Amino acid sequence: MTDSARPLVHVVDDDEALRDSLRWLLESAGHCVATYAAAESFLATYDPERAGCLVLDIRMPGMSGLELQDELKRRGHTIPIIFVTGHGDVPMAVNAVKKGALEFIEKPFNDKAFLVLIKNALAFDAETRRAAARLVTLTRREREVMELIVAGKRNQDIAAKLSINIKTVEAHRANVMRKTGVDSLAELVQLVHDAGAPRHP
Amino acid sequence: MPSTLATGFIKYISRQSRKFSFALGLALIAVIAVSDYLTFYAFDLSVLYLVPICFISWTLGRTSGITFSVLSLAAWLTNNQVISHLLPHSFLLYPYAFPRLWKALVLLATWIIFVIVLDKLKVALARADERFATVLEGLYEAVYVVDQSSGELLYLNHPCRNAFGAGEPLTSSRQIEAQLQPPPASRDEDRGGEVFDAARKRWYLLHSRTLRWVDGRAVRLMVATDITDRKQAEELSSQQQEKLRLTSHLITVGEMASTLAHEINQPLAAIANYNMGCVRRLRAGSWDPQEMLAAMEKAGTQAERAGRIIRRVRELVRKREPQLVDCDINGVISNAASLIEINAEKNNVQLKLELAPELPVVRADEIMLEQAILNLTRNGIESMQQAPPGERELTIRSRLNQGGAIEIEIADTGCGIPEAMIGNQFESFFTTKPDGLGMGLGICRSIMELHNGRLWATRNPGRGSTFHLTLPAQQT
Repeated sequence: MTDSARPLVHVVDDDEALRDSLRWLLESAGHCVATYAAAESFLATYDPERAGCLVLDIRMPGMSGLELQDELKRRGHTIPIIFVTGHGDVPMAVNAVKKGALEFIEKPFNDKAFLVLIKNALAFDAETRRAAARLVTLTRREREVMELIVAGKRNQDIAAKLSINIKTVEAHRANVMRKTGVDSLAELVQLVHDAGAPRHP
Repeated sequence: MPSTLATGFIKYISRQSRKFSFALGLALIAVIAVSDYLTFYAFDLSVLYLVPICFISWTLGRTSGITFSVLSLAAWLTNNQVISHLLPHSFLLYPYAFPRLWKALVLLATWIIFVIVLDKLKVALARADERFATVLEGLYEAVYVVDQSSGELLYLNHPCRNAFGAGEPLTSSRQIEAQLQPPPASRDEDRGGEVFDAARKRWYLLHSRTLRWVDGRAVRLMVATDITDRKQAEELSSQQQEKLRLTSHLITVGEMASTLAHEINQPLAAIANYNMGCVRRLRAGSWDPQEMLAAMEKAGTQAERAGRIIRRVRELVRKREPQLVDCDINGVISNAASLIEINAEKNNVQLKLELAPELPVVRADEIMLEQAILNLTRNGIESMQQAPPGERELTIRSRLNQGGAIEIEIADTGCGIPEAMIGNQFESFFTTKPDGLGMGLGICRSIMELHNGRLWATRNPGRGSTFHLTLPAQQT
């Protein structure tokens, strides 16, 4: 695997020593690392196509970690975020996790715990990407049908809602199951959940 | 002297009733007529009728004046008629009818002119007086004029009567000035100042000027402006300023602690990361000596950074040298209580002060002491969050103990100190609070030790705990 194909761990922290020491620690575990001094510079260079995760300082001048989280959500990026917090920021971090961040860790931290978090984050990202890749082959109409199936609607309701024939709905449904390779509704729900925010082609 | 008599007389008369004036006028006319009769016109007293006419028109007005002119003329003519029958013509001033009538007309005209002029004069004077009175009575300020030697009140306006004359009618300036602190007499002439009316709890700004009164004597014109509202507003704002100052000081200490914790965390985290990176590489057995060296040097630099932060904080703390002054411990407690009041109310805690009166002064830094008391009261309030609202009581006592030291007790009815922990709660970073730094009690104990005092805690027989602070009393 070439370096550019490997997942990238992004580190955003305004403290230079912390950035550098995190790179040192992460590289010791064999990760590819990119560091940024500010949320804005991360946003400017981030390539959503490349797998990875984000290690984010919660308190920064300019755009804060929480604001960056909101911005990524707004842009539809599902990159998993690990928040790094200082003393007294725990309530803030808990809030961030409620809003969808993967984890938070209080600094200074134990290397093993931190590297486990990174590993989990990358696995989570890979899972998301796999699921998304299976969904990406669906046509727009199939996708609409799928979303309604996952939302628990019956075929006749879907037909009424999309103003199409029930036979057509059944055909779309079969296509969705075939293309995504799932055998049951439960599996489909799991897949959509794993794919995170829907990525429209 | 005669002029004083005359003014006195007029003053006396003007206070009598209309009937009395009327009778007096008639009597005067009768006296003049009788005198004329008895002297057989030898002196022609007709000019004297002007006295009752003028008197009546001044006291009773124009109509009465004209009536009296006619009456006087009738008296004169009757007299003249009677006498002309009694005496031979050669003795008379006006032996014939025509000159007599002519004289009568002249007299009547003269008298009526006098009456009209007097009336006009009186109206003009009354108007002038009214203008003066309207302005002075309409003022918001209390104005009074006082005779400098006798203290007699020569004039006082309505606000003045309202402000100072609630009880008996005011006649002397002493009635007003006896209530004022400091007494206006002790001040420089022509200079005012703020005085306090202790009886009615009002503040006045007093202006005083020496003037010459209408009759020439030296008087003082006093103008008192009620400034109680302004004073209260000023006091309130200065109290708030004081509170703000103290609160901001407390905030600064809290912020400082938080910033310090955050700042020291940064280099510590970096050191840990560099170190762990090194350890992992060494364990894996694959390392580049140059890289390792650089990482370890960076870790060293971060350790120095942490040291610099600690030095900076130490300098910050050193700047606040304690300022020991003689202070009233009850005053310090009351100040702290007023700051904690809102907090207590919010938490349904009943705040009680049991302060022993007339305690000796202590030598202390008021702000530090206040901070220690505040800290302990705040702890007490926080410890009662689980207690039923009706039983949340925080008592601050002050007294002189057997050892001759001043002892302050801060007693709560809260959760108390667990048996196992009694004794070590003053250690730094000891805390039972989820969000506490564990610095509060340590700081309080340092503050007390700096004052040669002590701080310890005991468990209450019922519920809660009591914190005791002692301070050596100042020998006086």
